[in-house]
Amino acid sequence: MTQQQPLPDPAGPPATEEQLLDLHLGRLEGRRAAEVEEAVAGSPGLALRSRALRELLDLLDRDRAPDPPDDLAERVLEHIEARGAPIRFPGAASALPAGRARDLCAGPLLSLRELITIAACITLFVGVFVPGYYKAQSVARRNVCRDNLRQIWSAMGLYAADHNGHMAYAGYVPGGSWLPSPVRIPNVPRASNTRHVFRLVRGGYIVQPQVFICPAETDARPMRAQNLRSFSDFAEPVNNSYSYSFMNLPRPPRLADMQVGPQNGMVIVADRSPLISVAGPRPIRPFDEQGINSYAHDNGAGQNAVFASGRGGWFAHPTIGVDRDDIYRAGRLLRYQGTETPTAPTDTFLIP
Amino acid sequence: MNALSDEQLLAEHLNGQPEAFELLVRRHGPELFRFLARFTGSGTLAEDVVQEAFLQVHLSAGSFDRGRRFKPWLFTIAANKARDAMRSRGRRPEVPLDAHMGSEEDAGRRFLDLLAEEAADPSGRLEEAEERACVRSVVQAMPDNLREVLVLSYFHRFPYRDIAEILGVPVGTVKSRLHAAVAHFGQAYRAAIRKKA
Repeated sequence: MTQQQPLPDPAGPPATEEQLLDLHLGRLEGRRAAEVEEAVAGSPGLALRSRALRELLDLLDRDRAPDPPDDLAERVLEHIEARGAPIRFPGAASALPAGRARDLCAGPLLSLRELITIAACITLFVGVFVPGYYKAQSVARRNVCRDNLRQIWSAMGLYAADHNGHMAYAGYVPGGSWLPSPVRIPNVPRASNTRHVFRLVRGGYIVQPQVFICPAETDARPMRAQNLRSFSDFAEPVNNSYSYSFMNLPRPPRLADMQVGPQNGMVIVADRSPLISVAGPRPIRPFDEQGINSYAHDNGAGQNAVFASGRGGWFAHPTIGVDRDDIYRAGRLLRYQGTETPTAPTDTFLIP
Repeated sequence: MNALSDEQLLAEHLNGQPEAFELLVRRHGPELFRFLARFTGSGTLAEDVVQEAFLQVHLSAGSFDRGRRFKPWLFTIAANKARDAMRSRGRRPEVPLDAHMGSEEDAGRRFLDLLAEEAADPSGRLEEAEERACVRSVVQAMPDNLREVLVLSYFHRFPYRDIAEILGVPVGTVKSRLHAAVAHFGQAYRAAIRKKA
């Protein structure tokens, strides 16, 4: 076996096998490449290894990748368009293969008395256990959600303590649209509201992406942990379940400024606004004008919310802002386009 | 619009210019497809992943960090999607980098020495078509973490810095993985032609 010899280099460290590889991959600069080539030419052992490596790489060249389809771009664009369209559910098909279904229909397997007994047992079981099970599950989800909001509030407080009392803030975009990322208003710049709270992630104040996911939202999913530091906002609207104080302001607000009023101050984070889904604004129905709860828990039973003071919990109505202000509405506005702002400094306006 | 950089095109896309996104797809789609075809070993799967990767770009464009470059970001997304897709289709798990890659007799020997011995042995040569098929099967059988470095580095000539960004590992790790990938390929190829002989 030929002994490995380092390549001589008076100007730097001895050359390695990796540098021989770099030479063949064209990754060495002119002077360094010339030095390694000279060293190879002066050593029969190195020359043999160099030739063997070249032959090996020539083998790789024979592996031709298939050509992409001619209409690849069209297929990609169609795919995106199709995914952006409403999902249509085809009519429910039988869960059984056709042959098996026919077998079961061919004749009764159970007598009428047995069927009635089984149905009564099922009804009793469902009536006694299922409501309790769903109730317990619902309470557990609310508790996990409330803990998430408290973690976010706690991170906001730590951030403010490190930044002269200022809340996490990612800049001001005059007239910007805060709508979720797939929704665009032509010629209106984007001003995502969640990019501010994402500063807590970039700064290491929140390291678990799961904190932003309400367990009651079945469509939500956390961002990949390895992507957290390389993004400046949530990758997709479904990576965040919560709504935050409107933050597209000319100057970063102080957390202390949010503690206005005689009690707990303004709400700074709560369950997702019922007025803004991940697909854009939701119209308010006439009978919702008096206040509409987040849809996150039990189809609008209420919402978890946390005030600037750190107090918070479950509220059955959204009018918990300063002076009984609806936390999800800018003033008493009914329709939203994505560029609305709070109507007063004490007007709580939570948006995703 | 053709003269705009990738990052400028993405900004135009965010401003509501649909042709900007189409141009990005036309500019990078073919190369991304070839990368994925080599990485996944399937043209069909590669096309699916290309579609999913661009869909993710479309959805995440608003959160793109403007301090970064677009192409490594696109390939990062595509590589993650490809790994997910292969996992869901039941590809075998990765083997650790320090796992023994050759036969017992090869243990502790430098890969270039092994290659040099092989180069001196003309008996292990295959016909060209057979050789091409053998190379493909050996590349496909490599551990994912070695194959992705080999494909990005050798076939697509990405700079080490970009590969490190795409895979989320240090540049030194990229270099050592590339070294290990070539070594793995050499040993596995030799084992394959011995088996055929």
